[in-house]
Amino acid sequence: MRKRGYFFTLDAFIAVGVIVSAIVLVFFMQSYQPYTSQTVVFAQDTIDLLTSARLSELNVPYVDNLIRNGSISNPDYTLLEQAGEFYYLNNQQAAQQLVGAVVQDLVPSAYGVQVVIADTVVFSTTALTGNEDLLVSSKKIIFGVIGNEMWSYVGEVNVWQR
Amino acid sequence: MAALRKKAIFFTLISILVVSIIVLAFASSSSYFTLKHKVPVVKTRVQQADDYVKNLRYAYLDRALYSSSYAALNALTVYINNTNSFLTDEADLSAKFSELVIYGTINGQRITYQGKDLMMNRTFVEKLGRIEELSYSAMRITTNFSKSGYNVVLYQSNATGPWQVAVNASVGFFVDAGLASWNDSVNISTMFRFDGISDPVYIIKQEGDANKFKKSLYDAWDFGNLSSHVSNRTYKHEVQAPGFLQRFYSSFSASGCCGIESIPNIRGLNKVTVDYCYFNIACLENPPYKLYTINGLSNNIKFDAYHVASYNVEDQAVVAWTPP
Repeated sequence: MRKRGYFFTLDAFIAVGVIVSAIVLVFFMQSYQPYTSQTVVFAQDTIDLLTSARLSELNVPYVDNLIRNGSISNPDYTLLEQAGEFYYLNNQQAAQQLVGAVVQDLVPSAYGVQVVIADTVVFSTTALTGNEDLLVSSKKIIFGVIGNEMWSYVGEVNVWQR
Repeated sequence: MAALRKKAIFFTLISILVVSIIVLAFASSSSYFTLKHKVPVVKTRVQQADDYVKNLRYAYLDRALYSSSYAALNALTVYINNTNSFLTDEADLSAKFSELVIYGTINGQRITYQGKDLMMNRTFVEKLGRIEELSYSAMRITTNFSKSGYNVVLYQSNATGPWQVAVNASVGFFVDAGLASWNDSVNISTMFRFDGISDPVYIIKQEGDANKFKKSLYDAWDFGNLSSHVSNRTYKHEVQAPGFLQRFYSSFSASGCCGIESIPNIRGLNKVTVDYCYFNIACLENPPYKLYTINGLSNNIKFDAYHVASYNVEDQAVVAWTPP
């Protein structure tokens, strides 16, 4: 009888151990992930803002000034297209200032933004290290006409969670 | 006792198995069992390619045609200057313009000015090649445009008015985005101002004094506006005058919709000093056959009665010549 008791007790301990292990595995097995859902949506929204919204729609004082003084000849351009035009005119500084003004006003500091025109980084909040938890990228062909000359480049916007 | 021990082992193994199944069911991601995670990727890819095709149809091709056409018109004036002769007729203009837009040549020859090829990287075919290259580089989308059959047409009409020209063309394309493909053709149309292009009539008739097209600021006329118009060498709309395209093949017949005239800076001859009148024998065909100078303007400028009225300078007009 005593021996049966040993077996039953031992069996109970094994059973409890298995159950506890299962609980530990189920609840603690998932490793840490960044909260992706909201980040991805926001990053995509930011990219849409920079690549699809017209400059005249942005409601950024710096942009409005550039439209008034004629530096921006076509207010229907998107931000990326205008940056492309400044790049074509060899005025990377203007492109950098324009993107910087819009990002500062409209993009929360929790997100990093980088704009690349023809493989040249024209603006970046911080340097990309390659260790970002989440990076959303969009590439687009941008083009325009200035004077009677047409220009075209590949424009890229990267947004990541800092 | 041995039988009892064996049953216990089985019970324990079964319980471990059941627990393992439960762990797997809760801990594994659903990706092992469904393809839901791939649907957003497919949708994004197709959407991106569709946006690209729309951009191609409604924006890029128009602008490429405009840019190439303007460059071609400019190159055509240089060709006229180099050969020192007008084009033969409208068909000649059409053929040469079309070749310039598509290939950047006239009769297979490149057009250069001061050692520079005027159509380098500006032809329509080169613009199409550029988008083929960019679409693959940026988005891994393969684009192939048709290599012939563009049917380029250059014209002016009531729709363009006197200050613009229009160009139509058609292009076939095949876009392959991997998951989806498009095989279509599109008719492109662009309309643009020709400001800044040299007037072929001045190139031939007044060597060394090319006049560039520029619309006058004024639509209503008096002496002051006429004086500015003369100094600025601008053009005004005139229904009796030839249009912009006619000047390429020295046709001076009236273009009701699109006629334009300017006042050349010349001296001498008793002729009406309006370009299409002076450089052609015209404008003194109706009575009173008199020429008038305008007080306050150079005596080299002489108008017929029609143009005195047209510029509203009757008060300043003085008879300068009557036929013998």
